[in-house]
Amino acid sequence: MAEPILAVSGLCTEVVSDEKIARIVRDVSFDLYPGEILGVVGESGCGKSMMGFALLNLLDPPARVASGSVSFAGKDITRLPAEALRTIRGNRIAMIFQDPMVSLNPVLTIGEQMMEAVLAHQKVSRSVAKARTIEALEMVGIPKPAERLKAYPHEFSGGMRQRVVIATAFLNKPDIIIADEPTTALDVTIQAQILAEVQKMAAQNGTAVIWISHDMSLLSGLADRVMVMYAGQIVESGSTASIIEQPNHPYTRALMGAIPVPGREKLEILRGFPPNLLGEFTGCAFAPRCPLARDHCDLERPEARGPELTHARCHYPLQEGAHS
Amino acid sequence: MSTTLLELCDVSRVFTRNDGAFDSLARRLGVGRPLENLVAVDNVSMVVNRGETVGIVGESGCGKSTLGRVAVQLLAPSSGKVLFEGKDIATLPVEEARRARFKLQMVFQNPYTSLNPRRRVGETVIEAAVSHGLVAKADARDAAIKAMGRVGLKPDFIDRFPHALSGGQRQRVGIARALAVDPACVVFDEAVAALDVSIQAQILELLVELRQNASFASVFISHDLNVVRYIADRVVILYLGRVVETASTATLFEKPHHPYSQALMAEAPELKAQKRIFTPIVGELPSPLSPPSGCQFHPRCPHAMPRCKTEQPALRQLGDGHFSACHLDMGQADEKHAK
Repeated sequence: MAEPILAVSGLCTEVVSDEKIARIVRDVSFDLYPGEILGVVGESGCGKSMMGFALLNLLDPPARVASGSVSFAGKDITRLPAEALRTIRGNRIAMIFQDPMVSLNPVLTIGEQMMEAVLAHQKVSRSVAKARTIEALEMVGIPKPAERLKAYPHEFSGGMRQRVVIATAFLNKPDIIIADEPTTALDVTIQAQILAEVQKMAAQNGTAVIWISHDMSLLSGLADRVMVMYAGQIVESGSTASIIEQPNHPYTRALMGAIPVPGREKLEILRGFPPNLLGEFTGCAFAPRCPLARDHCDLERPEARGPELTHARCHYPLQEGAHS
Repeated sequence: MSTTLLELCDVSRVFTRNDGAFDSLARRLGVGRPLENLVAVDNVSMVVNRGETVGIVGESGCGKSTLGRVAVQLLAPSSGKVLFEGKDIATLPVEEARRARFKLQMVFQNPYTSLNPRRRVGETVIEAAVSHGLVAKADARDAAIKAMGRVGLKPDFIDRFPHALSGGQRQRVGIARALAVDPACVVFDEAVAALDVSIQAQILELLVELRQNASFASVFISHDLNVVRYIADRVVILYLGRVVETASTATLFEKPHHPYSQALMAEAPELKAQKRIFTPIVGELPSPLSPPSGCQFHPRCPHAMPRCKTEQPALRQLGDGHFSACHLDMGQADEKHAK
């Protein structure tokens, strides 16, 4: 296998307020390979967005990376000075946020802000930057892109704005794109268009993609590999097919059981909420909501186990139970 | 008692762009631009029977929310009639019309903006029932607790403000509020779109349970085909304000006739252990300000014929309750396929 383009090791983030420390991301480690689409799935509040931010060192106080490393091209992103980060962000690693109205500047035209992204990172003329901008807009299906360069974000619909943000991320042909639920607010038709473009980017340019979502059905068609997050930890990871066909962690199974698929008579209901992240867990973080929890689950923290590519952080993995 | 509860007859809703004093003056002088009309809902007829759930599906801008609002009388139709229990609400005497509207309730998409942030949950839930005399003021608190209990909200939420609630809990408050007045029909406008899949499952199961125990019909507006397939008995597919296909849920998902319905289904995410190539519909949703001639889907349709550009297809019956507005004869198309 090729060298990983991104290696994350023991990443922990925390939010400090009034002497209380909330540990949001807890000891996350994974490798990302060129051309790979990695899905990250979990409920709201499980730490998946904050992990995405931490990968680009985008956390602001009171949030911070507490320990661990994110190595990209031989450098640890979490320890780089601002200058060096600027050459990576938006250039080698691009991020697509959930809400396009927040990530676009309302007082600049689409053309100005997109061309700025090219000119900030590459020594090219304005006309080259303009041509690339038009090309990127064409790719995400904006009709008559040359004419739309003069438009302001408010003149676009929500779906078009998000496509502008995605086109901006594509502009510098980055090595990695981190996408934080960018299609949640969009119609299925627009979503299909964007997913098709992302797949093309990964296949043709070898761009690696981290796609954060709460919807396993979306990831099932898109991702090569999936990591399931709960309470800041990766509770299971593996190839998309193995996760869907043979989930090991009860949380993974519950997430998929909640999706209305054709023929399903009843949806699985996951009661309760993700836990408070202020303290330490004495046992398994999912135990209070787990339908299969036994006494032991409250007492000892489960470590990741199972074959190398399908780790599940569970004392009683489902597939093991099925065999015994 | 007739089975038809709510009937929309050739309902249209047109919005006129308000372009300000200068343009309106210029128009009076005969030099301005003509007024721009946006036909959000174009001659839609549909029926909601007692106790049934009708799903309305379409992309953003197809008029599905406008249609929902016309159905519950939040918007008046520009033409056509809305019949509730066989009577045209627009022609009823004031008091009777008020009672009819009261039987039609709505749950909105965004649980963060559809609740008054300065009002406690209990007040929000029971206010309408009290002001319409269904519940005496003295009993309001007990009634609120009962209404909240039906949607799975604990009594201690009664004095909380919306900001202290999660998204799923807020949506439950919206549903409790709609059900507190004992409605005959509830329109759910993208009621689960803003929620996580796990919360979405909770709300969907709640609706299934409520429907079994109560006698209200519902209209479920959504862009998510999987959700509609799960919850609805019948489905109406809208494109640019027009009905392109309607059928029972089973028929529609097994044998979609209209190319637009087929394309929508091809794009819906599926939970399968196999990577797939996403194949988006070509082209853009046209501007509703200048919709295409003939069949409005023709610029994006893979089967478009010359006739589709000029002639608007009418809804044709294909089977029991199955109607589609397309010139294509699917019988022929199937044969071709078989060869």
